Amino acid sequence: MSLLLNFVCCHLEQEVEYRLKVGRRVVSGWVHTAQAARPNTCEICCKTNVRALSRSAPVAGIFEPDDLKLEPDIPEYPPLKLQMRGYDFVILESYAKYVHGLADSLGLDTDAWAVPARSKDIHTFKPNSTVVDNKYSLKMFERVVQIESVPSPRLPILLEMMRTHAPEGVTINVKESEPEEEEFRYIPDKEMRDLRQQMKVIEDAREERRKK
Amino acid sequence: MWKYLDNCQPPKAKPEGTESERLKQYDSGQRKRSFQADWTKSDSVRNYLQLRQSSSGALCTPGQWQLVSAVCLQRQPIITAEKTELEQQYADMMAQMELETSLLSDQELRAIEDKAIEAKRKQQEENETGEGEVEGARVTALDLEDAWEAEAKQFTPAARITEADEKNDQRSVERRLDKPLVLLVKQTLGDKSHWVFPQGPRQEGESMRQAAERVLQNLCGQQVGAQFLGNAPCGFHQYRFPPKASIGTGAKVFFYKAWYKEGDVIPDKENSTDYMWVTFDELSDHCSRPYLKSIGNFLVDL
Repeated sequence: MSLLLNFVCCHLEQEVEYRLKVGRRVVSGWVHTAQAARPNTCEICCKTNVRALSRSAPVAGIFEPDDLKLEPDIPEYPPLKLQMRGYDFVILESYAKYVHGLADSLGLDTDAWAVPARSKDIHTFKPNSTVVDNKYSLKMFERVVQIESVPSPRLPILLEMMRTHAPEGVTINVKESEPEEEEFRYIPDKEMRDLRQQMKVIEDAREERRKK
Repeated sequence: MWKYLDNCQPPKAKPEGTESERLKQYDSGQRKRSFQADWTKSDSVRNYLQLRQSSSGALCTPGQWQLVSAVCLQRQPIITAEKTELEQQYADMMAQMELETSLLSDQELRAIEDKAIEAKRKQQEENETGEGEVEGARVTALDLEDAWEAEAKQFTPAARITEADEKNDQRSVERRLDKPLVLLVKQTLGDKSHWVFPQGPRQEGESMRQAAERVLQNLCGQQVGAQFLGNAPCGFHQYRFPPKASIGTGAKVFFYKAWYKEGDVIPDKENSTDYMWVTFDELSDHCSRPYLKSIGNFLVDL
């Protein structure tokens, strides 16, 4: 009788004391629930798990096929970001949607998100004076589509389609991810920052006291 | 079944080096006969086959195809194309629908407030002459709109139809701004001169993409800036040489796409005598039918 079968129910890892008669001896010990008195049944939920997935690795060994490919046949680009920026929100969003669908239809792994907008306040002055003539508040919106595992001959096709269908007023950047850009997406937590600063002050004071 | 599983052993680790040893046995380098190596280089063979180097320095034997890379240099459109009639009608309809379902903007609210204030002021003037409060002059919505229109009139956008279009100067890059343009070059291939994409054979020790870059620089000048799209060719064309000129069976042309960035094309007089920038529709006026067929596979004007 095999004692080390992996079953499907969620109580796999819970251990139960068991007493089992093996031949004339009574064997007792701690074992996974699945293995106690009745084989194929979990002690806790009484589920009869008909399918035994596999024998555990130390007994049967691990099977690894010989023809495993660690690298793809056609070289692939690292994860790339298609950054689209523009002042006109409607056009930008419509184009970003199109690009996402295009990348999907080309069979690429895609992910898309919006980056917080950066606003610019512009004041124009009347000639030769500091009297404000006009005030404009412009927002540069941004959408990003990230593509992964792009086979090298497929990227030029995507880029050509993007360029052909690009609307006026949208700037497109194709590049790898940068840490500053990733940081910019998150809203800084003021409370956390203040607490960390307080902690730093306390620790610095402690160190000074130690030195003295 | 349990018995079978009980009896199975973990897979034995293969001793290192067996794979490489096995492959070495079939290594063609070891197993070649002495006379198989470099047979083309022996004098007697060369004389017999009358091998000679072609003018461009690429060595080939009869029964062999010359590998040629060509550059499809595209100037992408600079302005968006005009809408067709149907597109314009649809756009107008969508604009109308959007207007009807939209809420009033700040400017429109301001205009409505202005009208209300005007009406109030007229009423006050009628009812009490001289007693009514004279409100400060308010900049009305219409005044603002007039000021903005005057400011907008000072800006003149560039012309959609340029000088080059009017003169129909096919050598200019400023030609059809709303269509993609492709560079065609007049090259002498064999006896005749053809209008083709700049092409040239691959030399020893370079990849097809490097050959394409070199060909573009040699034929069109060092100042032409191009962005090549990847190392993979986008198209293929094959043609046979006339059997009398024994330089080989023919040539296999691999096309590489590149986006034009800057620089004037100065054709190098040796290989290319003339050049022109041409839209996809105009290609059929200059190129031969089999060449057009191969090109048409990757040139799509959407």
